Amino acid sequence: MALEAYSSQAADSVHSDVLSEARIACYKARDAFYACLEKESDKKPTESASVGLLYPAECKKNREAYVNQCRPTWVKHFDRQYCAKKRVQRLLDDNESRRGPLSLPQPYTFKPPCSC
Amino acid sequence: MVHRRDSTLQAQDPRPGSVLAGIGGLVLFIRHNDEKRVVLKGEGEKYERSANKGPIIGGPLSLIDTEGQIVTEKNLIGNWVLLYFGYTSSPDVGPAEVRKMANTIDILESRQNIKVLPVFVTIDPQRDTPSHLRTYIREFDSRIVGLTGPVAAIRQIAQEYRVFFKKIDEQGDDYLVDTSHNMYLINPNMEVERSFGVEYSTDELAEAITKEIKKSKITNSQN
Repeated sequence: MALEAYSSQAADSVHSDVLSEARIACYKARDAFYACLEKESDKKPTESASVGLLYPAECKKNREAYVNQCRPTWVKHFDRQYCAKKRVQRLLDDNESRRGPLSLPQPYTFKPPCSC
Repeated sequence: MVHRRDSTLQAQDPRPGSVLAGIGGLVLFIRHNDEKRVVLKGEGEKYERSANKGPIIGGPLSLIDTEGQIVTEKNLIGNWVLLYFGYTSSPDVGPAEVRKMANTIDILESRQNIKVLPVFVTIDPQRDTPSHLRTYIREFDSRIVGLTGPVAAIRQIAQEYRVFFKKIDEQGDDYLVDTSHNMYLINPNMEVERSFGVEYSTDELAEAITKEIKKSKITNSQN
């Protein structure tokens, strides 16, 4: 049977890089890098990260640690998330007169109104 | 100007009467056709199930748990089940949802004395093998039942529960999966009662589940 064939399949290994310890280390390195990015925001961003994100040379060490601690797909995912957050912030902080309709992220399952 | 145009139009068409008759005939034919096809009230097939209950979600399953044992819907019948479709390589939402699941069953058990069986079905069976899934889940709560299986079986259950999943951001062997991260509350008869999205906090989820279970007349046969 297909199911039995599956359970005897080889390569039943544990990927420790997504387990709790590695995950927390990755989150820490990520937060340190983005904190550096905020701190050095007045410097000229010359280095390029993924998804078009640029960062100043001062944060190079943090970036290296971050890339070392996380899976490459995770880095890309978080970079994209950071850019999206920045974009919304820019729209919100922008000059009142230039502000157009905003599409902020909306919850996407139906939640009945609270009857309490 | 306008008059002149009308007259030229009429002059171009030799028999306006016949065109009108043709259109009239067509309208009559369409109406006759509609009348033939209409199903009067009380006649025809009954669509009561779809009219009252909405689309059918869920169905039979045959997967493998983290000990390599086959699990089917028969193993779940009789429990209230909180079913989550996710994958262990998820960077942020996945672990947060599993944590939420673990905390929710804690709240339900300690405050409401309600037992709900948490089930994690992976939509990434190539990487989430039984032993990997076991190690991952134990870090959250060992009461969570982890299910994986052959790709075909996972695809089938995902389709039965209408779970969207798509491989994205491929970089060599590494990839992410785009999915809805919804949780389903399933009653002891294996029928889906509600679905919950990521916007529910632990407390909101526990409250909504409590309400749903108290409203339902089916009691947990294992209590």
